[in-house]
Amino acid sequence: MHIHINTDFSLFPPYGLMIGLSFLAGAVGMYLLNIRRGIQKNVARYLLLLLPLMSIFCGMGLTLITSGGQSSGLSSVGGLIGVYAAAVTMGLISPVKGDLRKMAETSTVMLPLMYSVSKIGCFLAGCCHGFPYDGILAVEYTGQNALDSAVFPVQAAETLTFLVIFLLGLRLYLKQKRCAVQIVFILSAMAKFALDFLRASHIGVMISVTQGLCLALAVIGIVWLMQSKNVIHNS
Amino acid sequence: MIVNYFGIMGCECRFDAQGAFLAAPNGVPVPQLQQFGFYYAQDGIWYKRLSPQESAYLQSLGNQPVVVLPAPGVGAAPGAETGETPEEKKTADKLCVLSLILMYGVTAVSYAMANAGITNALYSVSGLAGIAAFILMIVVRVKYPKNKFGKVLMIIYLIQLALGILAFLALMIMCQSCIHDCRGM
Repeated sequence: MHIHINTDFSLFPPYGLMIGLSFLAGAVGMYLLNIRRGIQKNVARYLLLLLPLMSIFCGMGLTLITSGGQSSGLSSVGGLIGVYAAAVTMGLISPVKGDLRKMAETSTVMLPLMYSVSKIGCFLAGCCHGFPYDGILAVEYTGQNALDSAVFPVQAAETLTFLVIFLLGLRLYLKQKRCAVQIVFILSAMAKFALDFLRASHIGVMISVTQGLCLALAVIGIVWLMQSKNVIHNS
Repeated sequence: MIVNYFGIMGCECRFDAQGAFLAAPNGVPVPQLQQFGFYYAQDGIWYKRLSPQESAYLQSLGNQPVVVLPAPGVGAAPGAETGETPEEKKTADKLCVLSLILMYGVTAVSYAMANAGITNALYSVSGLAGIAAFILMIVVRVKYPKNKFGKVLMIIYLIQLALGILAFLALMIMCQSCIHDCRGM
């Protein structure tokens, strides 16, 4: 059974729409979680303002850097760096000590949802597609972004994987489980690393730049988890 | 000496070489502390440096256990009615001017670079300057919430952002309709 997607769009391109929706979902979720954690409302609101600006800037900036200025577009890892940059900036501006940590944690919990929603846009637009594949649920793109052959639905796989990570992370976080944030961070980095193998852009590449960054993030997450466990153990 | 400062009851008054300063008690809402210029220190206490006029008034009272500020018959500290001392206003205004320069002044340099064909540099410089301008505006709004320049700047930036989003959406719709109009030609 193949899935057929026509990439001739009537009014709004789905990619832009889904990127907008992903920012909206992430920003609203972060605001609610930040307020729940006791962050002042005005600080939480200014984070909403800074979040899309820094995320889009870093997302586009990383694509420019990694392509040597040859191509443009939003990089998900760059967007992630932008989200953390916004959280750290607001944490430093906030007059209350400890807000930085809280905002970094809520960002980590919401990032999988943002990525999950944005990947629906890629799936509908036909970008970031998977390797040539003719099995069950293979996708055939027609229209302006038509492809020569059917491909693996890697974007849909990413959407589902990150939605599961988000729901799991949110459940752990709301139950105030220890190390919930670190687990979300490590799972996200490892899932992104693994799913990148299924992309068409990965053919002929041993380890992509994105995978290198994900590995580095996973190592940071593991160190963070071990430190947190040590703190809990010592206390 | 205990000072009830603009309704914030039970502030502890201390003196140092620069004059008097207050240490707020626990439990006072943060927005109220920020409104009257208290700042959060590393030791977890909110402090407020008093003006020379207020310091002199408190010193003149000697060992009186509880003092109310603003005192009846004594003029309130400059800017106290707006919750902003002249020093704070000066700092906030400086940050706002710097933000304006980054937002609009750097644009001219960026366009000059674009004319020279350095488009990537245009993106980096104007993007970084724009974000820095937003951050400075937010610093002013968080640390000096009563500053009027900061408020005006925030409104300008928000309108600019809204117009930018609308222009982007309009461009997207126009481009889509162009593609449809020209199809098959």
